[in-house]
Amino acid sequence: MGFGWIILAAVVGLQAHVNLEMDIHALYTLSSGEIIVGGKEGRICYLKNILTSKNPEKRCVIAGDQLITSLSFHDARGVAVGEGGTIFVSSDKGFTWHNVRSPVFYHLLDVEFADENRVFAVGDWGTIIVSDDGGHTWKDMSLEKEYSQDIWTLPVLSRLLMDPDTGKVYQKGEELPRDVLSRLTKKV
Amino acid sequence: MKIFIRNDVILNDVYFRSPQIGYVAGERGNIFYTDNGGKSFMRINLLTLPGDENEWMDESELPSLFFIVASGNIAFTGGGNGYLFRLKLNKSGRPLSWQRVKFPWVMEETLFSADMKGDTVCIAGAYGTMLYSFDTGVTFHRVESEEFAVRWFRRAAALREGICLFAGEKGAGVIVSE
Repeated sequence: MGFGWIILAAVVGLQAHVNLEMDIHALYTLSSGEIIVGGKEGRICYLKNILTSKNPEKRCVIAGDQLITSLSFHDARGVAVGEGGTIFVSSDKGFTWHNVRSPVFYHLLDVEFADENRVFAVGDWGTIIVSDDGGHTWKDMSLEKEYSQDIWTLPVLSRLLMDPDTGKVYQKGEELPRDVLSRLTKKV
Repeated sequence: MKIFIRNDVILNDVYFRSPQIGYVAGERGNIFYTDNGGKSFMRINLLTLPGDENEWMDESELPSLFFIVASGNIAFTGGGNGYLFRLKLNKSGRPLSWQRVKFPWVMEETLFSADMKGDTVCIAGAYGTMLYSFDTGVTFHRVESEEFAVRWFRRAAALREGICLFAGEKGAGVIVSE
């Protein structure tokens, strides 16, 4: 499939259409102009000269098998996050990535460098995780859960509930197993 | 963390405008603000923050916020049902008030992502939504394209001042320059 781009005169502004060849869920523009995109099945692509060349340089890697939802960089160091708590780090502007241990298994939806070392990622279930070494190690500082008495003791749920010990999610209207109810009630 | 929140709240976006000042945007109109590098966050939502209109009875009716970006003393947040809010910030970046951005067209498509660089604001959304402003959001324009009308655009980036990139479904990428 071609990877060129064409410039069209638009009613407002000048438009260029780019074929990025994959569903794009994550996007980051490096200060040096390169663009990093991420998407399904762990695919992360590095694109160079997208504004200046009809044949931009492109290089893709498959980092794991989960959807990549967000990317962030500080200079050459990058972090990619995705579904199932997936975290990858790069030290070469996104050319290569390697998996690091995540403190959560919830979907991570966004990641951001606050400074050269401190990185935050957020996601489902009030998840906030933070790294102080550029994304190599992480700690969980998620929002505290509201352990409401009526949620834990009612056998039929009025809304979503997650078992914090197993991660299993119970749907609205679903009856809690007795052992789960007993275990969770003790936590209150 | 000292905030109690329902345990099904999704946090969609995290943005730091400086090493100390950052924001998290989430469901039910929730914004979390930090001015100490994320050591603690202050919860703010659209019900408790002064705004130019209030059509919501309680927090459960507030729109999902899928993004938050800031530049200078202005931030933009928005998401569900095409809601876009312009936040006024104090010198420490703390949101003081909000104003709903009105468009000269019907805007109901979900807005997924935004980016700002100086006066340039780029916003991507569902059903071919590509919004851009080169005057800090005083006026927004939209890219009108039949080709992309049924595709989603998940990400927007301000490549530099005056240039927006929108990227989304099936490799669609659109660059708009001033």
